[in-house]
Amino acid sequence: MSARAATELRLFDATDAAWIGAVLDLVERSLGEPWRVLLERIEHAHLRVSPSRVNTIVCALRRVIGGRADRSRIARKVRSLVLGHPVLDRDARDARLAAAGCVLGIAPAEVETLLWVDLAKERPVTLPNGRPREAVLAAFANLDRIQRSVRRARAVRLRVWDDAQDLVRTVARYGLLAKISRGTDGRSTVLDVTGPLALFHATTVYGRALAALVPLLADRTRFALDLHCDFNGHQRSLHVEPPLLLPAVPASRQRAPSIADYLARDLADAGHHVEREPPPIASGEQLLFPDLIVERGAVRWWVEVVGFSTAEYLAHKLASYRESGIRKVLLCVDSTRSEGHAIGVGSIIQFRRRIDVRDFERAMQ
Amino acid sequence: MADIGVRPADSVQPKRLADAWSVPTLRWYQETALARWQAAGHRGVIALPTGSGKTLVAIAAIARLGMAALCLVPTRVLLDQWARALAACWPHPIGRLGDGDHHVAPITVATYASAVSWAPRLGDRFGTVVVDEAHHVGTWCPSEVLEMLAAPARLGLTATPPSPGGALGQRIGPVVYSLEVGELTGDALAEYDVVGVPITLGDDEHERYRSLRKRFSAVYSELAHANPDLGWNEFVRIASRSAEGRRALEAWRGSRALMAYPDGKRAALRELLGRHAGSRTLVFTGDNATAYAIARELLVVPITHEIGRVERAQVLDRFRSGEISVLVSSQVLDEGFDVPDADIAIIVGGTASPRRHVQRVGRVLRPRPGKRAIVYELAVQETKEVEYVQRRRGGLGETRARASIIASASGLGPRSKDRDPAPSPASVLAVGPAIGGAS
Repeated sequence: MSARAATELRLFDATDAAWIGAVLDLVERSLGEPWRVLLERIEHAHLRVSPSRVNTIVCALRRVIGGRADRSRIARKVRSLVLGHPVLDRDARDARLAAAGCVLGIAPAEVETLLWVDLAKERPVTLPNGRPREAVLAAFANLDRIQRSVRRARAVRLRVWDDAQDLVRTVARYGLLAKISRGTDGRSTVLDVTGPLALFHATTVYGRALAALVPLLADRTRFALDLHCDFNGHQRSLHVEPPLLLPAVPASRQRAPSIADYLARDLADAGHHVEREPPPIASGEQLLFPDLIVERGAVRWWVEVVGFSTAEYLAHKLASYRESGIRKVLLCVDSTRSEGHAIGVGSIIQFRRRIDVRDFERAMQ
Repeated sequence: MADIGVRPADSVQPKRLADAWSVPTLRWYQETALARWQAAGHRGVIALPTGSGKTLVAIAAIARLGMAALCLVPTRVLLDQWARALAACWPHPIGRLGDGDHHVAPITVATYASAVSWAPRLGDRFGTVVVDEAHHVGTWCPSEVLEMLAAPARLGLTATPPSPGGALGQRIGPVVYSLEVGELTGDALAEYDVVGVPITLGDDEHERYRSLRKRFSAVYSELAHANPDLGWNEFVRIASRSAEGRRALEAWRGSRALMAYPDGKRAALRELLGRHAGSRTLVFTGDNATAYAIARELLVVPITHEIGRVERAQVLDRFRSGEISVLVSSQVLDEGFDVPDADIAIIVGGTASPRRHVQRVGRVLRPRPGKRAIVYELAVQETKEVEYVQRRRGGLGETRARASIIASASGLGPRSKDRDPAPSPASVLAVGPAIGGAS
């Protein structure tokens, strides 16, 4: 750890509106020109803010107005039709574009637009939905900045008020290493999530999973997120709480079934009585969130599916269940995301992708 | 341990290879290079020009040593190229680490990036390690990789050896054999002419260039005067702090952009492509923006890092078959890329780096009976570009280079390969000094 004090990371708010507006002016000036030209104009503009803040807004711009590369198949097709021997005069050039347009059934001008549409810096700048508001860019920039920070964090503490059940289930669903407890005020729930930099492997995958949690905070009226992160040896800290500009959580799409959902269905098919998402269990100050309760005869088994894990994490979890008076516990551990566990107890079932019901039944026996 | 009679063994015992090689006969300089490497205790760097068959030297070295070998290459394209070359000489499967493959065999090719993660697990399995484009050792190819490999036999291959010492010298060994382009021209490499094409800026362009350079120089001179040891990076760091400094940097970028592709270069490029219509031509630019500008205007194929692997392969196949005759690129074609045979190189822009220049020129030197390649260098008069051209030409080797510098008054060199006019002194001076006599 560096001896230097951590620097506070600044998010974006209404005070940034003026210079973000200047960036949007440049976007309008660059319509139809390659993104490269826009980026050069932004770089040369005297915006009087740090380059890192400008870069974050550029990333937000790409998300909002679609500066990311796409439509690669059509662009490749257009290039294969249009690019070839050099055309040395205007007429030959027009003729080639027209010929390609005929094949594709589009106008020559559109052929030219599609030529580089998949290349991030060469595609033309467009505003498909008009000029975005400065606040929208600031919201996406905040999302980007918080997500980048959690990907470089050693530990993340998220405190939420009101019902935390959904958020906790999402944490479990993403397979994050988390300790959940009641807040000291008795009304909040505290999620202490291990940061990617505290792990020894799969840090990128884990960081991405942890970052996916951030957009969900936009729905919360009250929360507090604290983290310490490391950017190339520079310690940074971040404290986030509302009011905060964040993009609205996208309308919920069909949720793909989780591993626990599949297990519940398979166990039910095998004739077991299964209870999904039972209420949390208190274990000292900590809260445990089992995914299922499976009844086998008169015996009830508490089941939790664990994504990322370490030996210590699993041992702690089992101890917590025991402390709460629950002995019949089965932890289903994703072997591709675990850092080895030498715990010689029958309470752990290892799986890859999906849990085999026969393994599960053997463990219950 | 010695006290209790335990003697640790610290020798590498790599797998011996069956004698099943079918290596083509080496040329004289390849044999000499290999002999020098063997005499140096199987450690050292062989420096041969692009297109002169370095890969074959390495395959012969592996075959003669008969030990399991790991070949490290910088790019995925070279991974394929090496695997194909080895498979043509060795009947057993070739291991591949990189580009989604994780298969280890007694003869394995790995990208530098994959070697970083695999070296700790493979360190004791190979007796020979070959590093292609070895000038990247210590930078792109981290020294740690070579520290983790216990292979006693080490061979580095490069067209452009760095100065002695450094990571390459420590991890691989000294340069044991070196030839320059000029020494193989007409033998293992095609004969070639270097044609300097002087470009004049239009009045408006010239005025703009002068104004931009003036704005830049005012700030740069002031800072350099205050700090005589001022390096470029330090200058950028200091200049970025003030509005005046930022304006100077912007002016510098503007002058570079103007020099990269002014109207004169535009016209010269059209003229040259028209003159050599149908010939396989590689156009090299100083930056991607110019490469795309040329691609847009002339509807030719750009090869940049943004063009995906599959599309690149398709484009190169079309180039090979003659379906397309021109490729334009800023850096991707410089090295680490299996470019099919080409006759003409047009250098629209670039840096002063001799290393990069050698790699670029090497792209058109693959020999073919009766071939005489032409390298055109476009340089804007009265700008820094003339200095860049002079500096980078040093990389081609001045002593025995058979290249002829031909610059006609019009600036566009010979019309046919048969014509070989005497250089116009004025034009030659305008572009830079000759690096060899006319052939």
